[in-house]
Amino acid sequence: MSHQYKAIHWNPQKKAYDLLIVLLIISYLLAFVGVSAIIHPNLDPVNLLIRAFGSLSLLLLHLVLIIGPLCRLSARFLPMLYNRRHLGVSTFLIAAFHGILSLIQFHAYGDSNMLISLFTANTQYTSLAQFPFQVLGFFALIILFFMAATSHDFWLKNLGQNFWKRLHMLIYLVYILVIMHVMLGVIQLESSPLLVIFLCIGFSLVIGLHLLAGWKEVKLDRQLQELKDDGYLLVGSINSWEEGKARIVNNGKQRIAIFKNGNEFSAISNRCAHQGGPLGEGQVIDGLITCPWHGYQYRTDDGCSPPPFTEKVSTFNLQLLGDKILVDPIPNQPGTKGEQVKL
Amino acid sequence: MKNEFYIGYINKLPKQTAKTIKKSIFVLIFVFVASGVVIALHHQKVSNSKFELGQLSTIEGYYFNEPVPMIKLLEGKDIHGNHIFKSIPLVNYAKFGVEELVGIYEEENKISLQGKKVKIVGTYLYDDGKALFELTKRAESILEVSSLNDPAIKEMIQPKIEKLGVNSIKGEIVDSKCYFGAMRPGFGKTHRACAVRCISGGIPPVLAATNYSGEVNYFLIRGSEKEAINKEVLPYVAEPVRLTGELVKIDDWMVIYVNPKSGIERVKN
Ligand code: HEM
Ligand code: FES
Repeated sequence: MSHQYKAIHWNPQKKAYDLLIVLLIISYLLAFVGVSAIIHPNLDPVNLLIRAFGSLSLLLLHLVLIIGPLCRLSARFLPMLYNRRHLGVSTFLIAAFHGILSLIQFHAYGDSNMLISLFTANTQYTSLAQFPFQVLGFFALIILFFMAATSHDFWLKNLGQNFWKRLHMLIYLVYILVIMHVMLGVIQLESSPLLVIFLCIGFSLVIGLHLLAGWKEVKLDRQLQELKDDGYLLVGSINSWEEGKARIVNNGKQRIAIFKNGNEFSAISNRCAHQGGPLGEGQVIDGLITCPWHGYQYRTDDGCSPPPFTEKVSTFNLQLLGDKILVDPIPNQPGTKGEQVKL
Repeated sequence: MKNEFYIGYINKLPKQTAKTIKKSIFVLIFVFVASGVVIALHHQKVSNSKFELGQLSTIEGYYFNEPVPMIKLLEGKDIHGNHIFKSIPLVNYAKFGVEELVGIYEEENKISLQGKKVKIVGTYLYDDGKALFELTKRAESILEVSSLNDPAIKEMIQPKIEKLGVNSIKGEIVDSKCYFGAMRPGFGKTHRACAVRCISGGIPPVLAATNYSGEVNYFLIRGSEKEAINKEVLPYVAEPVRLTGELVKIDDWMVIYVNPKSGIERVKN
């Protein structure tokens, strides 16, 4: 966690993850370059690389985008999320290779600076069919750069979770920019529908999974808000918990995770202090609430990470009424003790 | 999946999770390979042009700077005993034309290349029966220049000019260097910016016009006063246009002389 910053805390899971990324990259490049070399032996080798790396980065971008909703839909996909930042950085590096190669191939060695040429060679900014699509790729690449550069926990901590999260939400803008980059670029040149079909499938998958995951959460929030009972929110009967797990309620502003650990109930914010992961989908491990995303841990009573770690989340006060657990919707200061229920 | 819980830094995947992840890995590898194949198949528009990169040739012919700087090679005689020439437009290294280079050479050597016999070294580009020649070593590509003393040869190399009247031709403006081989593909939307850079750098613009039988005809583009109009055609590069102007056949190249203010219009595909 956050007690000290190393470039990368390696562990076998991360190594396996990165190996898979490399494997995927190599299998794509071999397939693409192999087929291209057979059917178009005359294709300029630089153009071939530009296309191979451009399309590969788009494919990786799809993967980056669907991992989030997949994990919301089923916890079994969580290992894919654990080291997603390496996938993001790989996407940036592949896209950067594509972009820089394009800049050199199409803009360098001419009568103008290549970055100026990028914006001024094609000036049909008001035409859709002739739009300077490379500019869209450029902005996408710049955003990807900032995301990759700030992907480390050091930046997450220093920029603050909210800002960091907002910056990283720009991945959706990148996606839109890249789709337009392709629609107004190579799709205007070629007559084959294959790439359009590919983009449509990808787009449906990304949108479909996000809607599905969003719908699941909205349903949950709605159902839970009906359980209000004079000030305190009704969570449920003490028998309705699975051991070591949480039930989640929404106080209208945020979600609260109420955990059962043996015969003790405690409530903390559902938002992990790391990247905002859903703590309520985590579990109590060795007496500590453990985030499902990257395994940050919090004490049940005061929401503090155990030393040497320093993360804190808010706690909430609980009451027992008959066999029902109720929660105070007003949070305590992050890291201060909340009232627990002990049976 | 009761109580199955994965923590990244604990190194064993729970059973169900491991199953899902294993399946996902197979699906992912399949998807990546299949996408590679499908996207590669999507690319259809690749030209047959050639660029003899790294392979220098030395050629000898007669230099003319109209309609564009070119060298005229004697190819032999036809069945009537007439000399056959092939005119080869010259381009510079990278994204530049040769006009400036020739100008500097002429000034430094106090000599005009027009109508002289020149020996040059460089790289061939060719496609569709047309060839271009890159002065790969820039000014050092010009090896020898000799004047012609024999009036018969002077007479023989005079360009054959055939005026064909005013015409309108639909096609795409391309930069001749990339189109005829420096880039494959060197036309169309994705190449637009590069074509602009090349034409702006002095590479002769060419109208590539496909006729009804699918055959492509090429027209060197000059202004109505025979001037270069590279800057003026830039906004129209790589999209469907119609050029209207005087059509002239000069040896084996067609030239269209266009008033840049009135002779270029965008058309629908
Ligand atoms: C400086 C930034 C960029 C420049 C100058 C640039 C330039 C280009 C050019 C010129 C092409 C057309 C290549 C051809 O087919 O002839 C292209 C295609 C493409 N680019 Fe970019 N690009 C940039 C950034 C990006 C980024 C960030 C992405 C994705 C994350 C991307 C994804 C693609 C894709 C998917 C294609 C289509 C590949 C294909 O032909 O199948 N580009 N780009
Ligand atoms: S979000 Fe990373 S551990 Fe919780």
